[in-house]
Amino acid sequence: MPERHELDPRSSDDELLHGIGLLDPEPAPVVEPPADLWRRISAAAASDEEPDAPPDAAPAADHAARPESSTHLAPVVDLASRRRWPVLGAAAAAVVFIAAGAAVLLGSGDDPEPVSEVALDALVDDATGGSVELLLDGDTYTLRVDAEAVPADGEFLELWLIDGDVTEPRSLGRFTGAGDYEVPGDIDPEAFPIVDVSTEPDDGDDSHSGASVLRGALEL
Amino acid sequence: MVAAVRVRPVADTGTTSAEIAFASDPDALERAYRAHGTAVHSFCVRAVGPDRAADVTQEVFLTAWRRRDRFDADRGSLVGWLMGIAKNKVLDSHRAAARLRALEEKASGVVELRAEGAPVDALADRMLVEEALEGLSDRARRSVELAFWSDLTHVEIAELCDTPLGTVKSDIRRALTRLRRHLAGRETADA
Repeated sequence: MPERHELDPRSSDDELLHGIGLLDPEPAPVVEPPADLWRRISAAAASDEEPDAPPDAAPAADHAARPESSTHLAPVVDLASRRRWPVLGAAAAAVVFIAAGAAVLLGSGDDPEPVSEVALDALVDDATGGSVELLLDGDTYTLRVDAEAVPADGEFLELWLIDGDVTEPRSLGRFTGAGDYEVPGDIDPEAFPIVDVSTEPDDGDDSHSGASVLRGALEL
Repeated sequence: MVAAVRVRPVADTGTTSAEIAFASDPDALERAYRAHGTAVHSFCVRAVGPDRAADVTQEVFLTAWRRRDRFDADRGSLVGWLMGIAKNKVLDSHRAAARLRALEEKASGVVELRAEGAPVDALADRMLVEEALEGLSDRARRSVELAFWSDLTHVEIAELCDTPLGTVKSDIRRALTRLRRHLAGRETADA
């Protein structure tokens, strides 16, 4: 039996800090898995789940309907709880489409229709958590944010909607404090349910900095 | 190309949506893979090499899926639990290789025992420390990294980073709290 050198969650802060100090300060390089690995895992898990299913039926449908890009997988994740494993892919895309259509119809009245209200949690000390409400007026979504944050020195705040895989942040522009923020028509909150405020360096890079200060997940 | 943004807890030490889903959602496997597949795969690349990393990563997620009833977000984090499963898979793989080597060496008259556990444990722990640092602002991350890997006191870190002492302390405490949750999750994979 090899000697173990694991950190112990029950250690005191000092003991834990000492143990961490013995680890390599350099993190392991990030190596993305091969693009087809999820398909392999989902096919194997599906055959676990449905032993009586016709051979390869479900995985085959899965493969046919699913492009490689995680961008296209996001809506599938989002409505996952409404489906039963392993019915995936095209059926789910149809559900997204129908749900979005129904939401538009429901929201066609004069007053904005509340769609979802969830907590917006502060991730740093400089932020004050609150709530965020998704409203639908006709075919226009609006985020009503009731939370505050302070950008880091020399930085600004930006509001994002992020897909369920948390791989594709879509910007809604600068976050200037509590208030209403219109969701651009090309962003479907069903597919991008995570509301996020980040602090962004003023460096001309329009991608997400990775430094989130507020976060909540719409329930759609 | 938008850089990947890792899933972070929705509150400082709270459960993530991926964890909530993993206990109740039939499609949670995909959510867990999307959230933590890269971390698990990166660990496997370091631990077993690039050729076998994808296979071991697949085994990790399938094992997690088959044992999903045993995951309890109240006892520890999902990424910690997955990393615990990954560590055990890697150790199993190393032990099998060591047995094979021992047989070959016995046959050739050379016997050498290798203890492979410690580096794998340390590597898994390092991944979980990295997960605990995820989501911190650059400022907070710098403070915490100085606390982890330098002999500086909190006061010295506050001076060096030009940050209030209370903020430095709360950043470090938050990172340690997250780390404890990941480590607790890792331990539940051994149960």
